[in-house]
Amino acid sequence: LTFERYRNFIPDFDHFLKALELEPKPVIRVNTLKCSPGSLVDHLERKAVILRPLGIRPYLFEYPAGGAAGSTLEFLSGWYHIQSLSSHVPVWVLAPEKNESVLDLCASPGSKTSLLAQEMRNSGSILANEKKTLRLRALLNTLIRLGVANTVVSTYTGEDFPKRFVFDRVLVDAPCSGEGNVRIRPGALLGYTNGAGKQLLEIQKRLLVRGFDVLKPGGRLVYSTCTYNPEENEAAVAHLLTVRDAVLENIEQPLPHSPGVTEYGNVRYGNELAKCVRIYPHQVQTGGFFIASVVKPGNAC
Amino acid sequence: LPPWLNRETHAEVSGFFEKRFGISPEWFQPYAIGRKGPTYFMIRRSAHIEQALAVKVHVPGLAVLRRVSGYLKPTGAILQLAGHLVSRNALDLSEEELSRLLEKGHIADESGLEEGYVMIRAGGVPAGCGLILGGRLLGRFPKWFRAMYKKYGVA
Repeated sequence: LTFERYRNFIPDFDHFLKALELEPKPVIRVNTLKCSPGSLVDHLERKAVILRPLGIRPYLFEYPAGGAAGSTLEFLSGWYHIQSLSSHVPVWVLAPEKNESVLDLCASPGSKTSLLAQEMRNSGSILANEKKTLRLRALLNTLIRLGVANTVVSTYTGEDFPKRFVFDRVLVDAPCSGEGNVRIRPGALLGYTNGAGKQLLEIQKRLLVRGFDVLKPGGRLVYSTCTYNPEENEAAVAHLLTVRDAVLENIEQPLPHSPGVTEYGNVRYGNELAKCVRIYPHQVQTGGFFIASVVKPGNAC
Repeated sequence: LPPWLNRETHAEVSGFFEKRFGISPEWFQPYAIGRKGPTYFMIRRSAHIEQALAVKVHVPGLAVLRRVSGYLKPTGAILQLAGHLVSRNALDLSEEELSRLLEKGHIADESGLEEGYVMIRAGGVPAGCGLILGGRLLGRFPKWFRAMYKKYGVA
């Protein structure tokens, strides 16, 4: 099994394997750019859909199991978005403020971009970048459906994003092998071979470094993936700490989690990497995620 | 700001929505509005907008209007976003009527509204854009909306 190689660092590993067989909780996020949580609750109640508040954020609810969350008019009209609980965390950690400039370097399908816009109340400016033409449509549809009006879309190759632009916050939600989604979409693994995997690791490192290069002094960058592989996670962050003057931050976020891995195989990443956050499906009923937060020393202009 | 985002276009767009849908021009004040080809976009004004638009832009904000055969057609996106402010030319359908409209592309119009573009609302939810013409209501929903409807239906 692919995950057997993670037995040494995933806590309660057998429980983790069992959790992969369970359905994830269907979670929806009320799009407060268009309606209030109370209004959506009332509308769906009239259709006998009873939402259960998750108690984490006022806009997060569990949709009834077996319900078709994507088949209501409220969904088509952008009153809510279907998004796994763990994929909210990178945005919460990035914590953009109203009127800031934010770069979302690998933006499709737009769940995190639209959450950024929601948290910023459609103010400030977001640049949503997506180089893959096939994935652009999904990004655009999400932004249109959710009424995002503070976002410009660009199509640069992320790792070559122009250095002349700088941002208050940068989100690098990197392409990854997708191991954390196995539970959500059986067979979600990219099935990457050693060759493709190595290429992916290089791209992730380059995305992270370029994201840091376009961060303003005093700004924050969040690096996230939906995979467990330390080579795609802590190794990329350790690489950034080696080649740039980046400061890894402690992370406060509301979901149960484990610390980052400090060594894997024969490679030692350093104790500091424990500041990263790993979200596992047996600790909270959602997809797996990795999140790291770094700041660039200096004062914001 | 780049020259295509200008006051004249802003006034044209906000004026259209005031006249046709009764949306106050003030609602558009936080946004810069401009035209690229047949499409009018709006983007939130901010201290960073110049930088955001200096990149190799693929889409410069939210599309709000399109010029179609000499007419201005509102997008479903803007009618959904500002739908709660629409005070005229709003057409209330039941969800069953909306389903028929999405399936057939048109239904008979008995609303008594003047011909032209209308906001379609169903069950109190602003759903998108329609066109009243020759006694019929024509659906003017975007491809993604129709595709998702076709895939999932509307409950």
